[in-house]
Amino acid sequence: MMLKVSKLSVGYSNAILTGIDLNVEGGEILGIIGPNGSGKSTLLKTISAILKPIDGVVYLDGRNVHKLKPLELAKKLAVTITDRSDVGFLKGFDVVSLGRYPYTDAFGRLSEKDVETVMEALRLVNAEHLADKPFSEMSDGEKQKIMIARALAQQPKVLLLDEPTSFLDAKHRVEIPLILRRIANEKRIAIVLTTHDIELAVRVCDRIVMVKNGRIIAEGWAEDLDSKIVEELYDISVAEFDPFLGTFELKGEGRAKIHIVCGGGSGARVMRLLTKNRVPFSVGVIHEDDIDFYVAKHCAVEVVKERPYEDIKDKTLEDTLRMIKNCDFVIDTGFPIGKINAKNLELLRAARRVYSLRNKEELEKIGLDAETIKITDLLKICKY
Amino acid sequence: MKLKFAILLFISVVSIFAGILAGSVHAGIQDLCDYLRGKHDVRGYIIWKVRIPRTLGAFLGGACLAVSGLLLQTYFRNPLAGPYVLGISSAASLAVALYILAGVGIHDAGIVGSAFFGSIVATLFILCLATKVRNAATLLIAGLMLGYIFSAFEKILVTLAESQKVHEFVLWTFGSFSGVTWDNLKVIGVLGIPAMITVFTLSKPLNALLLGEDYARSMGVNVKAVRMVIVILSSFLASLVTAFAGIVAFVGLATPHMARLIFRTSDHRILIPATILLGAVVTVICDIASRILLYPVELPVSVVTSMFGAPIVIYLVIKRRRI
Repeated sequence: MMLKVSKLSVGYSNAILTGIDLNVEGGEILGIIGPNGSGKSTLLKTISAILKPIDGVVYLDGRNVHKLKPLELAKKLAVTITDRSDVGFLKGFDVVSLGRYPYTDAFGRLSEKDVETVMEALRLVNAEHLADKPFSEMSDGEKQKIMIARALAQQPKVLLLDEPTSFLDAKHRVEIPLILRRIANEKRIAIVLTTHDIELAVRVCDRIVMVKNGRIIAEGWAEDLDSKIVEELYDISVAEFDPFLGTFELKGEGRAKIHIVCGGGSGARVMRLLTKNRVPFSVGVIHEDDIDFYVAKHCAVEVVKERPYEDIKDKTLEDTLRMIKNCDFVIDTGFPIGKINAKNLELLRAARRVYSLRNKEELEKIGLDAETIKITDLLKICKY
Repeated sequence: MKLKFAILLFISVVSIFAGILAGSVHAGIQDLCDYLRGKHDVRGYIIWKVRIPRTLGAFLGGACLAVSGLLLQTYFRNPLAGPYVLGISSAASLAVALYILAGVGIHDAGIVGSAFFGSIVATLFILCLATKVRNAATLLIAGLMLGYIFSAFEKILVTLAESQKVHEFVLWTFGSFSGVTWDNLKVIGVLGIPAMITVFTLSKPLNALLLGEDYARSMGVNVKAVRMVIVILSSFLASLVTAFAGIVAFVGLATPHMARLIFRTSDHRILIPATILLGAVVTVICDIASRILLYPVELPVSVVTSMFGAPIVIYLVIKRRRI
């Protein structure tokens, strides 16, 4: 075990997190998630020996990190924190080479090998082009890359990152997680990161630990999250977490006056558009394995489903027809029509009034009498 | 880089010569040579006994203050830190007030001894605080508050004292290198130069501290030990100058900025020697200006350093928001 945290209590004068047990192997990424103020950063600073623990021990390769000399520890463990650094005239290369601190001589002179290590660290984070750029002129994302490279220049076995993707632009929000995966895979470094962004955690972490109210409330594989616990973690009632999609979906509420017939992913955008504008709707018939089903499950007030890969049964169809009667109109999202969902076409034909996202020719081809409409015009007819 | 250092060295030499030659009595190198050969006239005496120690005093004193300021700016990561933010000047000033205004103090110690004693007491206070505080910002606030406390007591003394004595005291607080003697100079040199060399050997941890104490700690810096050494050295350097020259304003705050801007670097291996030379040159030039600006009246050196330093700080604050 690379990093082992045992019965750790952390805090400044009072413990804000207690009884923390963690294990991380080389090449593994562990995410600590929790709402802001839950003590994640304090935990990370304690593991990295910036703070002393109130109780408990942190072992790195079997040795107590709080008993290691600073220089010894710096060769094994590196950290990035959210501190905003103003480093004056230092350039990207200079900042990364500060990470060679535990290896250089008394005046911090870089050997050829040190320079190689620094350049390798810059390469790992896709930041070779930033070597000559002044740190103070970099964007937040570029600074974050440089700080990660600086940590890598310490050649650590364990890398701790506090909120590595907060405040970043879209490009770096995508790129930094990929870089972290590359570091874990190529260098077999054990990574522990904190984040309040569960969607990021699911994408980048192998395992996830959730902290709230001063303790760990759940932990497990990123692929095995319980949506109820995630919602409890964030105290969220207006949205639901979908472990299959790895995202939050807003929850639909109210009495449905609109019905949507969709499938094959054609309905996701329509459902999200209506839900965020607080327009309640029902959905069906939809197969349980369909991507639209995972969105409908949260967004729709009511869903009529069919078992995966089975033809729509007459009974299911009748239930849906009854539902449609109470609706003002039906939206056809332009779903692909095949054998198993052929009955959805009958559904549309039976409806009183249908708006369709298909074009005229397609409607004629399938013989459906409907008004064509663009997705951008949908809200106009829904909010009368 | 080397060229800039060469130019700076050249200006240093020129300014020292200018400092020796400028003044109300017209005296030249010839007079100095005559004096050293044994011809004892007034002009030679003035140069050898007054101007040379004064100019070299300003040179060394300016260097000490500038290094002290640089140390604290780096440690506090605050561009407005200077040698006096930890209360050194207020403490020295209180001790001198006690000596001049209230007659309290060791008689033999004089103003120099009193000022030095006062700043050492303040240093000890700060050191006690430094072992207790969790981070740099707390120490900075504590130091500033300590300064206010010392100043408050000083103001009580000023309120109660005779006006003649108050004038003498106030002039001391304005700072001047005019009273520096060869003996004083020896003390400044013997104590100040080794202290500055020690600061230079701290270049590596100082560079790491640019990222803040937490990062420095994580990269292997023994932050507590370095913090103590920084507080001791910066206070000691400031105390040394204050004892012999009073409170010289702004040099310690402004010249580290000038060094960063001229050498376009934050690397202490370059910044420390650059700051030493700049602090020295600037102080010598200000000392010369204090002699000739309102000739024949001599201005306190702080007047000149402030007039010169404040606009630079304003420029810095507006132009670039980084240290």
